[in-house]
Amino acid sequence: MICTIGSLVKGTTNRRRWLLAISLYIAACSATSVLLGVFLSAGGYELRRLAHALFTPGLLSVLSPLLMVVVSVVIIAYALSDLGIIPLPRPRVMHEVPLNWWRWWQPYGGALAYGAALGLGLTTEIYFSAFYAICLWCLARGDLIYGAFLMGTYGFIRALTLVPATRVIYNDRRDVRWGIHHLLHLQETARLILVLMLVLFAACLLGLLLSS
Amino acid sequence: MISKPQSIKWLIISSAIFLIGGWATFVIHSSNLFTFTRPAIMAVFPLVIAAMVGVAKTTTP
Repeated sequence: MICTIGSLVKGTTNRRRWLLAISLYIAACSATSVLLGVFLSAGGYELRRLAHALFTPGLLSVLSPLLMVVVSVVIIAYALSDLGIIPLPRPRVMHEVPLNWWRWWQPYGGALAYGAALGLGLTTEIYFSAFYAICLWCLARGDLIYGAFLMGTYGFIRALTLVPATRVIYNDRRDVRWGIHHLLHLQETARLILVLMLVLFAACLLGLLLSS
Repeated sequence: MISKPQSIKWLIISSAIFLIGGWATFVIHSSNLFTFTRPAIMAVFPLVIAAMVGVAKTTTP
């Protein structure tokens, strides 16, 4: 991902152009993440409405905690999948975003295109299953505003972290990998932290069910 | 002989079991614990995870 967005600095010749390109990238990435959150939450909302129409209140009072159990189990399963213990499907739309976008639309169109594509989260290889966990949580909550805020947080932070990375490359005019090589070594650490967070979250959800 | 990645994996699994077990014990002994922390767990915790995934994505090639 991070090597592809090197295009954010390749096509820029001065600081103002770099700032504009990165701003467009952040805006596009955040916008499509928000849209993904709204889409997933709307799906959850409609499913909930359908359940209310189909099932009796008595059955719903049983199904609601059961849904939380399923969500918790899926989250733990994906955390174990991150550790390589159980294989689970990792659906995505694309393997990676095309490298030639920046050549076609550089620099601003490319920044918008990469931001929009990467903000969806499903257009590259997904290394961290926590992404699926937050998508599942949007679906389970079925709250449009919360879903938009949750996925928007993901998209905005994801895009924002590229500001220091691209700044280093822009200033030094070196290869993208040179600028971020130290970050690439932290992937396993990041994965382990996220696995722990997921397990803790699932344990908390199960705890809430037990306590209620 | 267990290799380093294997030992880390088992460390994570042990920690996970410990977390689940610990949390369940808390619930059994203090039923009011989750009433107090419920909003944080349901709303804020996923936001923290979402932000962390966003940061973690920077480490992918």
